[in-house]
Amino acid sequence: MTKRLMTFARMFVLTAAAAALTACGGGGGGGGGGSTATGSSGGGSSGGGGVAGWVSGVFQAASTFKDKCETVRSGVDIEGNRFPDKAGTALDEKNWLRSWTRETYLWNTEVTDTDPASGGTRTQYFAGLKTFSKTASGKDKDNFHFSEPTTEYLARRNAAATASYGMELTAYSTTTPRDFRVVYTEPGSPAAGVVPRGARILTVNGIDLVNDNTQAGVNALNAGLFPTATGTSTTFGLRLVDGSTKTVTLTSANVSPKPVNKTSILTDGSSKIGYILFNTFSPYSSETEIVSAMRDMQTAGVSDLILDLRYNGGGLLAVASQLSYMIAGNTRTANRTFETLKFNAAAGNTNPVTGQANNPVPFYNQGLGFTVTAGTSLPTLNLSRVYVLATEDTCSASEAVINGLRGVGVEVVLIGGKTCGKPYGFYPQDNCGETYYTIQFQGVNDLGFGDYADGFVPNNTTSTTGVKLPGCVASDDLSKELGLATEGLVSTALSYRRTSSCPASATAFAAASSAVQSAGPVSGGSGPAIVPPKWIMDVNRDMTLPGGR
Amino acid sequence: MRGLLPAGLLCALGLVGCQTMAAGKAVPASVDMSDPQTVSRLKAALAPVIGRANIEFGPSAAAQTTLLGVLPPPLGPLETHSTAVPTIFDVVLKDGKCLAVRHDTEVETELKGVTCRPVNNR
Repeated sequence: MTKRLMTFARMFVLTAAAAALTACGGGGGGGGGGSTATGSSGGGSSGGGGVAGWVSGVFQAASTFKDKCETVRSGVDIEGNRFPDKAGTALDEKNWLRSWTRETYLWNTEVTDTDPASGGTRTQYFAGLKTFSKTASGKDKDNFHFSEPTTEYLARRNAAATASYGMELTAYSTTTPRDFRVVYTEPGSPAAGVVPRGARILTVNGIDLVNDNTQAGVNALNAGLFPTATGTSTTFGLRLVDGSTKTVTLTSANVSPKPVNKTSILTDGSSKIGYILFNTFSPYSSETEIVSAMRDMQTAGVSDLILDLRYNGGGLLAVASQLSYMIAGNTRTANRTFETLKFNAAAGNTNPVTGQANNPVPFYNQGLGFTVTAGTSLPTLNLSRVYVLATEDTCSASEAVINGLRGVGVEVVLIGGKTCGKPYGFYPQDNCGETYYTIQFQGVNDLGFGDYADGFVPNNTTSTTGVKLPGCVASDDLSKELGLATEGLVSTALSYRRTSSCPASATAFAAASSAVQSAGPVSGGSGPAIVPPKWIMDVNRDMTLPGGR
Repeated sequence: MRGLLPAGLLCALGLVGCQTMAAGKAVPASVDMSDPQTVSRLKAALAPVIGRANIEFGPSAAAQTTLLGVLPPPLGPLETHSTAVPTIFDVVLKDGKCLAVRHDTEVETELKGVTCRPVNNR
């Protein structure tokens, strides 16, 4: 398994000591050996670990404890909002977590109710407030349970651009001998047009990235790879996919991820096939960029679409809905639901987080006002089939597109690998300076289906888990530029389009790609590793960020 | 919870920005988003309704617009399945007052100090 990382993010050296922190999730918790909570979520007047003490299965309203803080913040946050904190105790904070979990957590009846007064920090207590069941594949049913300081949460969501070279990297090995490759560059960034896809970074400012095992060397590598400010010039020694070497000097600049990285119109005989590399649903510009790209596809008269979501980890569900509408068209989606949010059973028809009616997400057929004027009609391709290129990085809102389209009868042909398996969502919630993420809803499509926690996977997979879709297993092809008809996933999609079967070359390609990857150790390396501190989904899914908070 | 309290009570308590429940007929109206002072006053009027200290507007089809879209806060990098959408308001004139009518709740908010132009008089 490779690890993809963005040079936008500051990376840290993972020392052996720091590595231990990643395991701090554990069971955590306040101990107490409580019983499984089966009582009503209504607040018992004496329950909930309040003044009268903890009573298993009895919960006071979360609002009783909200913003009662052991350490009270004063003033305003970076968005200008006044802190709501009131004087309270650590126990109040844990009681809020307990009741909030009971009220809003999707699997609230699977949480073992433990006494919040039994010790441990708030984040240790929070770590236990989840299900510990497994999926069919054996992975944790809840893989997305974590928290972070609110200051960091707010800082990151307000950071429109970050000092960077604009190279998206994947790491086949983060420890020596390290293997870092460039998967794409951001248009208009310092690396664009200079660093080709597939290039392996050999040196950074003359330091051996592959083999340097000294702390000083790793520090210098981090400083060079992940600049903290604009204007930092760094020289990279690269090995290109043809085996040649190249040296480039890049100067960091403020770079924002571009949602639609590339589009093209491919031809196959007399057919026009659209290609869109769509990398994120997160920034508000994703709305106007995907609408513009789809309008171009409509104007070009494409009869098929290859939607490249291989690096798209999700973001705005509303934009996912708009994209799905633009693919499927009005007839297939009229009066149909793109996604219904399924909350815990106690919530009924109410969204337990907002307190509002739980209205389904429709197929939006107009601009919503992120960056496209509200009410603007969207273009449509009216396709009955779409080819989606996917990897394990294809996640969440990207998977919602797949599921939403399948819900209205659009055939989704999956080319690549198994998707990440996140049909879930949450509303980040601050309390007393910590922002908590707990799964609160599962998205289901118009047919009521949303059970893809083990991901979607092409039909010819050898995997025994995951929801199988028509299509072919193939590996990301770093030897070709994205969007070319010869690139591995694209060529497999084109071949499948012609024959409705998987080409032998896809299998051969997958094997060859695997061989290339295994040339550097995927695991079992030694020495300091270079990993991102916010690699939260990979190393710290069920706990707080490194630092033991 | 705000949604469970009468709007009039909230207004009286000053918990929301001067919301009104007037019964007169509303006439579609527009505001000039190219005027910084208008934008500033719109933000001042609507930020409390949204429950945030600062708000930003999404794009308008024209500077003179009948529709106001308040953007949600930007997403954090871990929000991969976000239900966030802009909050849309219609601008109307009613009983001589310039109002913003929120689409999802139909609650009206007076836009104090903002000049509204009836759409049919443009």
